[in-house]
Parts: sequence; structure tokens; C-alpha cells
Amino acid sequence: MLANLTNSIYPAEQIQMRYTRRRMAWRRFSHSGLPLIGLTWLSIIFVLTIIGQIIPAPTFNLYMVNHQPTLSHPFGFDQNGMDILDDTLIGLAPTFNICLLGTAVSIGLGVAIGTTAALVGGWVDSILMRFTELMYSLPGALIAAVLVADVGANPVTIALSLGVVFWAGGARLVRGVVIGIRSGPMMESALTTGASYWRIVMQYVIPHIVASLLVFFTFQIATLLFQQTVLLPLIPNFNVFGNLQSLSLLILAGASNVSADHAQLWGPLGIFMMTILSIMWVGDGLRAALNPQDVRANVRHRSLFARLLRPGVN
Amino acid sequence: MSTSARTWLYIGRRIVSMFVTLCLLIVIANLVVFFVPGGMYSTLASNHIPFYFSSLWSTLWNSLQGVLTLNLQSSGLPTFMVVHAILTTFLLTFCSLILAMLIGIPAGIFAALYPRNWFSRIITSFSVLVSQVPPFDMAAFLIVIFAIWIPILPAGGWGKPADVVLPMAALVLLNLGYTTKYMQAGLSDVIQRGFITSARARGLSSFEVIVKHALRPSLLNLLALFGPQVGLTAIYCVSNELAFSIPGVGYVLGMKSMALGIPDVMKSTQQIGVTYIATIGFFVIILNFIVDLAQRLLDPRFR
Repeated sequence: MLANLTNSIYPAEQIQMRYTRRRMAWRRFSHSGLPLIGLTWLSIIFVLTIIGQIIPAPTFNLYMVNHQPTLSHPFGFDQNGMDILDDTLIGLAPTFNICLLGTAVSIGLGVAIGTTAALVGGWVDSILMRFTELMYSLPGALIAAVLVADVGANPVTIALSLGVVFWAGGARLVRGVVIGIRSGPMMESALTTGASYWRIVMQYVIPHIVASLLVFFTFQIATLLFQQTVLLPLIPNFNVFGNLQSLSLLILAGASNVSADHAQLWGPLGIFMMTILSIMWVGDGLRAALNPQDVRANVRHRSLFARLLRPGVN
Repeated sequence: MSTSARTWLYIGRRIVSMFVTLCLLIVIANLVVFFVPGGMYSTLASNHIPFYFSSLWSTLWNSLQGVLTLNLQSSGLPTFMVVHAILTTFLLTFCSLILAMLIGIPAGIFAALYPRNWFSRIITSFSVLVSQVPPFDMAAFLIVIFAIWIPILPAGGWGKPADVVLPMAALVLLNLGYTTKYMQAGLSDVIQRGFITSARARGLSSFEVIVKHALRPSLLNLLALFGPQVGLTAIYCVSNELAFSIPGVGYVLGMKSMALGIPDVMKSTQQIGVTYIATIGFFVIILNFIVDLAQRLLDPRFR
């Protein structure tokens, strides 16, 4: 039924079909409702990040050291008398910039190395895979620290060096998926039509690895958030006045005195975990929307949440 | 050539390349520990660079010899102690990964087969949520909950069976999200393929379709990421050892302060840092070899 709906030889119908296809993709995306929650939270986080850039300096009150959360200061105060909510808002932008840039670099490297290893095969494959193995058997953050100390520490170099170090998982993932499709009928048709290497990678391979990479993306963001904690103190004049303007350092500081006062941990940790969950949900929705094989999603009824959100259809 | 002969050839080649990788690992570990900020190079070498480079070469040779002959005297500890520590860390890492798979794979299968069930959404979200708790928080949470609020388990120590529970739980929870999520993603892709439909059409029961046909290809992503996950788990395991005072690698080699499970090699001697990195790397290489063999057996396309 889907095949009849999305394929037509008439131009006017093609436009109509494209519209239908987009609407079906949107319906597959929003079917479970969770991706919509994720999108909402991510846009809230985007707005909060911009607000955090406008805040000049965190509220500082020496008489409120380690104060419990109040209504006007919902995250409480840290041991230096800084408002943790202000610290968190200011720290959102640098933290997520490092995470996103580092993840982009590591996924790019992973896709390049994994596809090359799987498509070329032979001794190139085995050398690249042994190199990958070497990369993930070393503690990556130490190598990143050496790189950062060499080129000078700032957020951009930290993100780049983290990306350069943590690509191994992506490369192995991509290699596994590409080996799965390299001997199928699809690749055969690509080779018979005389597609170039670049075209094979861009048109045939990338669409197949997107689904796995979306899951990898979620976990990679969290890993880079943990690992950048070691590298941030290498920035000159970082943290001179005792305020931890980075989400990862706030989580670390909250955890270090969790047994004494756990109120300082929940704010930053909650924001971080909700963001990771939202990324996962949006990734799930995108996987469903991008997956043309998922025909069943079109004939099922929509969930209660989705029906409440947009009544009238199905 | 027959399949089994090719498999044996592959195993032989892998063992040789494992040896080469281990030697390279020790060389890189020496370089990293030497050049890391706060290490020997940045603190002492600024005046006497030639002298310290010669010391780098001698340490490199010593550590290569030491690790390859299992003679770890130069790290200042009796060998049996180091071997015991390595076995402890190996046990914790390996068993926690196996346990995470035993819990995560059925959960992932359930979540993939019933994607519109609210319970399966809760399982997936919860396991990912739990595994995103930073590793330095997880140990603290578990101790606060199960040793202080509900005092049923020991907060630290090693020797009784009850001591294993909390550190193992922390490591299992860290790996739970990865196993569940990749299993769910892999299986929900695989069950839409044509060969599953044809298997159903031939009249196989749902159980047979899932176990015999769908499970193998859907395990591939999980296994591909197993190797990197072993590395991360071993490093997190060391931070857990410090939190629960377990005589594992990190504790015995004297890693006093840890941020995020990354060894503070800057504060220990070069030899200890190198031994640490080489040990963890050796785990990863061996476990990865086992996983690659499993991957070859699972999927004929890898041969």
C-alpha cells in the first residue's frame, strides 16, 4: 500500500506524493510521543543556553554558602556562595559546544576509517582495525591531555582532541554495518552501474549507517561530557575565582560532596540526564522516520499522546 | 582451504598481531606518561632534555622487558600482588560485562518486539538514564543508598561474597544502557527484513524466528562496540575499586586520586603509570580477540 502511495509517474501526483511522504515521515517520527517531548526539551535547552550567554556573572553571596535550594534559587548555592542555577546556565554553552564539536569530529573520523576498512578490505582493513584496537585500549583522555597541552588549551582544541581520540567505537560500528551490506545485491547494482567510490559511500553506505550512528551519537555525547572534565582545568586562568562554569565540572563537584549535601548535585545532573534522554528519544523518532521499511507504523493507530496533541487524523 | 583451517590461520595471525599491538601499546604508554601535562617532561625536563630523553629510552626498555616477562619488580611491588590485582580487576570487568549482557539483551529484545508497549519504553529509557549517571556518581549513590540509608551491604572491602555486590552493580548499571539500546535498535531493524517474513511464512514459531534468525544479525552492532566498551569499563572499574577499597589494579598500583576513572598518572611514577596502561590495554586486546572470534562465528560474512 505504501509503495502505491509514494510512487507515481505523473508530476502532479509526484508533488502530492512527496507531501504525503513527508507527512508519513512526520507521523512515524511523532508516533510514540516521546520524540516530541525530546524536541520540546531540546528547544528549551537551546533557549536556556542563549539566556546563559546573556547573564553577566553568577549571583554571588558569601552569606549563602552551601545554602539549601530556595524558591528564588532553585538549585541552591555551592561551597563558594555561587548560585548553582546561574553557573549551570552559563556552563551550558561551552559544555555542549565541546560535546557537539567533539562528537562531530569523532563520527566523521569513525565513518571515514570504518568505511575505508570495510570497502577496501584486505591488508588495509587489518591494519586499520589493529590501529583502532590500539586506540581504544589506551586511556583516551590522557592522550587528549597530551595533545591539548601541546597545542594550547582552549575549548576548540579540547573538542578537537577529544574527537581525534574517541573515534574507535564509531569506526568499529560503521565497519560492521558496511561489511553487512557490501556483499548484497544493492552493492552489486551500484558496481554494475559504474558508481565511483565516493558515490558508493555517499549514496549507498551513509543512508544505511545513519540509524546505528544516531544511537552512537547519544552515548558519545555523554562520554565526551565525562572525559572533558579532565581537560578543562588545563585552560589557563580557568576557574580562578572558584566558579565552575561548566556543566561537567558542576556534576563532578556535586558528586564529590554527595554524602554531605546532595542538593547541589540534582540540578546540573538532572538537566544533563534529561538532555541525554531527549537526544535518545529524538534519535529514536528519526530512526523511525528515516526507515522506509517500517510500513507497520502507517497502519497502526497513533498513540494516545499523539492523538491528544493533533486530533482528527487516525 | 577448508573453513576450520582458515579459522586457525586467522587465530594464529591474530595472536601475532596481538603481540605487536601489546609492544606498541607499551611504547605509546611510555610516551604518554612522559609527555602528559604534569609528567616528567613538563616538570623536570626543561633544563636537561637530553638526559631525560635517555631516561625515557631506558624506562621504555625496562617496561617492555618487565611486562613481557611478567616481572613487575620495577614497579616496586611483589609480582604475586600485581597478578592478584590484575585478576581482581579482570573478574570485575568481565563478569560485569557478561551480567550486563544477560540483563540487557532480553530487555532489548522485549523493547524491540513490543515497541508500543509503555513498559518497554520505560525499560529502554531507564537503562539509558541509569547508564548516563557519571561513573564517579554511581558508586557514591550506591554507597549512600545501600550502605547508609538501608544498611544491608558493606560499603567497601574485599573478601566476603557480599562485597562483590555493590561494585558489580555499579559496573553493570553503567553498561546496561549500551546493551539494551543497541540490542533494541539492532533487533527492531532486523525484524523488518525480508528473511524474517519468509521465516514466519515457513511456519516457524515466534520463538524460533527470533532466536534462530533474528538474534544473530542483530547482535552485530552490540559486539562491534564491545571492545571499546571493555576499555571504558576497565577504566571505570578502577575508579570503583578506589570508591569501594578493592585491591585491584588501580588500588594496588597506588592511584591515589582519580577524576572520572582516569588514572592520575601525573602523580605516580612513570613505571606505575606504564604498568597500569599496559595492563588495561592488555585486557582490552584479549577480550577483543574473543569478541572478534565470536563475531566471525556469528556472521559468515566476516570470514
